[in-house]
Amino acid sequence: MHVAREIMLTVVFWLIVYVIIRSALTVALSKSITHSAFGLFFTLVGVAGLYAFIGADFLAALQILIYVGGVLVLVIFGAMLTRRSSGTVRLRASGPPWVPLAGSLCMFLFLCTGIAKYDWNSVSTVAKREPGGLTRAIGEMLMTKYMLPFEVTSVALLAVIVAAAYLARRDEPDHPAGETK
Amino acid sequence: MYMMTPTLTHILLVSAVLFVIGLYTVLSRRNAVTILMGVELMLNSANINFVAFSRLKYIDVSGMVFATFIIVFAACEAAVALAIILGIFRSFGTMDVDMVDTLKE
Repeated sequence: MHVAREIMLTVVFWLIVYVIIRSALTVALSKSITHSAFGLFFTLVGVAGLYAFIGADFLAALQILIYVGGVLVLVIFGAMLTRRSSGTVRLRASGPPWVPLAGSLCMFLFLCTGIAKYDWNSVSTVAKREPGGLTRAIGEMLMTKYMLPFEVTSVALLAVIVAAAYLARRDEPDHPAGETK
Repeated sequence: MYMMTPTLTHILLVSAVLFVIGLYTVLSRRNAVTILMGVELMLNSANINFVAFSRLKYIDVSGMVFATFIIVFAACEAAVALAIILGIFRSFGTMDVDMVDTLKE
């Protein structure tokens, strides 16, 4: 019974990993910006699944709400608003292809040596779930220990709303810049 | 089967692969929106590390609180970056970051 559960968890984990990596590769290598956006969608959903897998339910919900519901919609809007004609946007690589490839491989080797250097002593595959849930603990943490970052975040959100609306606004067509009335 | 059982090391490796794919996207693309997608991938990989350490290594919710802040600020970053990209598109007529080089001249 225990072995069967472990096998099932392993299969689920590698399925999630496959979804994440495969769709991230679509983001990186696809020729069409729409395909890249869809790849990003599946990557974000896969990361939410990974959060749920390791028992961070709140983060999984947050990932779906903010990333999939907010950031991805923004990115798709950006891709659609900056489209020149009705055709799909063709993506081109910049410069010779081996430069980013070499940089990424160096970074990967660096990260791998960092990971392999320590024995992470990770026996708990799936952490046990608290009966009250983690959401309550996170909420209490936000209201006590991380009160100042929380408030600073709300100010930053206000600044971002104003800044994004100011930057994205069109100039009035009947009062062009530089023309005096 | 023992090697395949998911541990913290596997999750860290997945996050490293995701980071590298995001880095490759940022380095190889010329379209500004696609570069932004690569940045989102890299932010996600950092977030996976925060949550994995918080859940599997140090049993503490601080890591998840930080992941929450990262998600919120990623949304902020996407909003401002897309507003800037729209402004660039309006004044240059292109999203190609290699073409927007007037500071060079």
